[in-house]
Amino acid sequence: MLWKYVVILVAFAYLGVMFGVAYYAEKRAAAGRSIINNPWVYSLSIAVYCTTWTYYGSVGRATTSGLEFLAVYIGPTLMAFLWWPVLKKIVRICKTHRITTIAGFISSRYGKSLTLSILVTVFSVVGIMPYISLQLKAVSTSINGLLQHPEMITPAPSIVLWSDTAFYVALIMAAFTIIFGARNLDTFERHEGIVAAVAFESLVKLLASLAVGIFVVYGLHNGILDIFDKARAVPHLDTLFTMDGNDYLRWSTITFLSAMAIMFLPRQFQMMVVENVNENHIKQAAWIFPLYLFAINLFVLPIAFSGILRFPFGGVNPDTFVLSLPLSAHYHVLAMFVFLGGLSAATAMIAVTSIAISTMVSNDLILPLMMRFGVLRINRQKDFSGHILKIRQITIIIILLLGYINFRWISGSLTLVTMGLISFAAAAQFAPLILCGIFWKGGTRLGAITGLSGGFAVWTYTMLLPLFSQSGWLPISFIEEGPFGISILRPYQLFGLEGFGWLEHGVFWSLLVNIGGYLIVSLVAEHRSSTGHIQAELFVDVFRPERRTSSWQDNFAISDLQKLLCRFLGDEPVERIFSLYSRAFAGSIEEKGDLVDYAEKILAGSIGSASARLAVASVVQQATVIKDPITAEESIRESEARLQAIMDNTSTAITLKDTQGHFILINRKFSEMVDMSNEEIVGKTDYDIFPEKLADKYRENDRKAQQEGFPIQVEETIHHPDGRHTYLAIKFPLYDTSRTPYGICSIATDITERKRSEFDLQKSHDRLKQALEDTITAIARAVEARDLYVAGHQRRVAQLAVAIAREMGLSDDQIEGVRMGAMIHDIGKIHLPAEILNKPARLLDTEFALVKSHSEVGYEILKDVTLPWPVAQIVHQHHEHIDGSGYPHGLQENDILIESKIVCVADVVEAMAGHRPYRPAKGIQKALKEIEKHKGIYYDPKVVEACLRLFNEKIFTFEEKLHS
Amino acid sequence: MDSEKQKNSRLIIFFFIGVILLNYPILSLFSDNERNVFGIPLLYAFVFTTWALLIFITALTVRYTGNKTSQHTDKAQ
Repeated sequence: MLWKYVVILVAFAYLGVMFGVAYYAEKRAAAGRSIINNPWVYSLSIAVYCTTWTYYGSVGRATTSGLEFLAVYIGPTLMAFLWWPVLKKIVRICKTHRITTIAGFISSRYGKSLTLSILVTVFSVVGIMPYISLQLKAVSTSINGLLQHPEMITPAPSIVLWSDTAFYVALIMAAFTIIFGARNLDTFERHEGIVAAVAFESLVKLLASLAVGIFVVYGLHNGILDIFDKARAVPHLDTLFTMDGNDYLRWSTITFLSAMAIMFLPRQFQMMVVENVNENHIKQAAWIFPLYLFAINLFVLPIAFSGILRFPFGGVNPDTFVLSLPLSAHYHVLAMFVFLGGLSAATAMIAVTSIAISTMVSNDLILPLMMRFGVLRINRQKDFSGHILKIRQITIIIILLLGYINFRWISGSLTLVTMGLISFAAAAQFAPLILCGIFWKGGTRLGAITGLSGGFAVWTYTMLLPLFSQSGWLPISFIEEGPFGISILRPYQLFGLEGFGWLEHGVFWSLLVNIGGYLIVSLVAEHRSSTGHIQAELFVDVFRPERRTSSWQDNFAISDLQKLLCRFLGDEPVERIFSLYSRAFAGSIEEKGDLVDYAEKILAGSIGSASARLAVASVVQQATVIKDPITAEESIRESEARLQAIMDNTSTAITLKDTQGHFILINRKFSEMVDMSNEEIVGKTDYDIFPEKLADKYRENDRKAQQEGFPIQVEETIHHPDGRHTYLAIKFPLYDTSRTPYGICSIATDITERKRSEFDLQKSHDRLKQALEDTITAIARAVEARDLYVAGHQRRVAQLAVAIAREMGLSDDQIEGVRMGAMIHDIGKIHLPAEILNKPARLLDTEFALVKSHSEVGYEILKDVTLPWPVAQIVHQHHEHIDGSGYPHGLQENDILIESKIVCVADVVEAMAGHRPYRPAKGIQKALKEIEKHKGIYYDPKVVEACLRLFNEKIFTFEEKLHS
Repeated sequence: MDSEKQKNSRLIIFFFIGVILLNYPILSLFSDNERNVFGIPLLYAFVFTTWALLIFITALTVRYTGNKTSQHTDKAQ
């Protein structure tokens, strides 16, 4: 009795852990730090493929058919080669058109057909039922197996409902699914919690399989070879080592079915397509997932043989060997672990399947039907999101109950693998419609309806009905003699086709009718509606840049449309979504028709494409006369090709990014520049392509352009193999008609060469200027060499003059002129005899006259030297006074250069402050008094004021070291 | 674009090679009770080895075919 409670307690505790993982993942997602955004988690979540069928059923199958069980895993491995070419396309289509279910996908591809969406949904529900029963059966058997321990005989399930553990398990699973799968409405139908929980349980079931495998091989036997040796000794057992006759056909059939199932089972579609976060994860999953399959199957054969050897007399169901082997050796903890692995495999499968199916039932079946028959008054009722959730929650419960009923009273007697294969065959019926649909534009709505319903009918007849007959709900003669004794209609030998196993037989007929009907009707009856045409083009050409062709009239009120969306999605998200429009589709709302298309897509994300079309049609009229879709398509394609040709043949790099920085459009030059293909770049950001520092800068510039609102020019650098390149980028925001920016266009020209020559030019210019300055300094020295007392005088005058010029706000060029002029303002003194220059007494008048000639002489020396500044004039006029009392020409006020006026004042101040042969230094204060006294008489008042300011506010002092 | 096409065509070729290797009649060549590989039945050994090889090839193809991109970003950094 204690053991029973331990089993139940541990089972519930484990389900609690799964709740915890899911809850944690959702919290992380809400905080913006998703834990599922990586290829490993993605691959593990795909491993929801491995259900209890894999976990328990594989061993059971291996005991009777040897290697055959493996075909179910070889199929997906082969298919994984095609994931990158095919699955990526499906994912892209679904993301572009907001498709969240298989029914939505097929219906949307074939002209948003309501008939198809209903057909696929019903088919999925019926087709998946045996599979759900299988999980419940496996859990129930494993629980009973544990509870009956140490009795090794597999018991029959208990008769009374409330004492059947499987019933409670089904209820708990329904609760789990509702909490994490149908609690709120997400426009993308993402369920991070479920994905994380599935990834977690995938890990658990893998570890448990490996653990029991290692235990059997090395605990119960002496390695794998030991098991095979012992098996060889048992008579007839070695037939399991080989294949022959019909085995090959069955092997190929199962390989094919599983290759289809891995992509088109509703739960696989949910995990691989809808929950896909990043297309690049597909690439990694293409080998990680097969590796997972490889590992989980590694020990199946040894376990199977070990089971046969250990329980030779039957009585123990081979489907429970995984559990019975450790139990029979009294390894209770290991058995418990194995049981948990199986429990979680079942929980994950049921949760994901019922989410996928309930979304389908609500979006693709109930809502569109209610709308069509007016049960739902879209225009009256306020908020529908609650209804949608309720529909889903009820669906989940119904699915689980149906699965339970099916397991208890219909297919409970079948083996796990048989039940699974029937569901696989159902999923394979979707394959032709989807695979042809994304590569061939010719497939039409009518063809799809014919093919699918035909396939569905044959599947029901050859696979499902015989099930009922086997479990006693139909007379067994139905199988053996055909309905009403018509032997040509025997479900396992339809039209007298004998020699096939039931599976190959059913798959052959159903797919023959399916593919044949689809192709023939598609070829005979072409697209009836323009929607059919457009959808076919949009799906097949999904990797071409998006084209817009609206099939809606634009005489409607936008507010009606918004109100409609609010009813389904709530007010707050709709506001956000309308503003997101530009970001998601990088288009401008040029016509109202585009907006309707967009609204329809958004709605499709939540309630499915068929419902969305009906809902939108309630506020907007469909265009009655549509431009011939072919010509419209062609003209758009033509203008696109023209634009592309222009863009690709320019030597500038052109990019268009959305406001989030994802590349939308690029030209060939840019793709050459970063050495990546167009496809690789589109959808990425700078951070995926460039080092972080560069990307930061680019982003910064983009933001600036967006804030400015008009084109800005920036220089951006990028590393090429041949070194750093500089680009002159013109960036400007692009607006939609409501003046909301939706992207940043950048046109970048490689100006590396220009930069280089500019740099060289600047360098040689600097060198020349330096040479010129050096020359002038040398001349100044030459003058000063003769006149000891004036040594450094010119330099100090230059220093003060520059300070004054700067204080007065002269231009840099003028200041440079002032400096040069001041540096050699006394150059004329070279002409004076040294005695006069160094005479320690007052000069005679004649001598003074001679001294006065130095400005004239200076001018003569300099006048023919071509300099960029009026240096000769400055030297010439530096003793002129504004009242005309100066020399040599007695110029007045406006005839004197401002530069000369400055040098004049600086000269006087420096001369008076410094020591002179004929008098000792008078000091700065005296000098300042002198210029203040003659301010406006000799000296320009502005210059004097500037000079006084410099000294009074102690901004300026002569640099002492120049006195040396 | 070209590297992408190259990757896709390689994957498709490997897909067909895998389909042929793991089906009749190739399988029947290994379905032989008399022979075994180190004690493991020949058919089992063949299927598991081929399977492992296929996975290995997929990994190599998605990782290294035409993947100039990753090398480029490495260089840039």
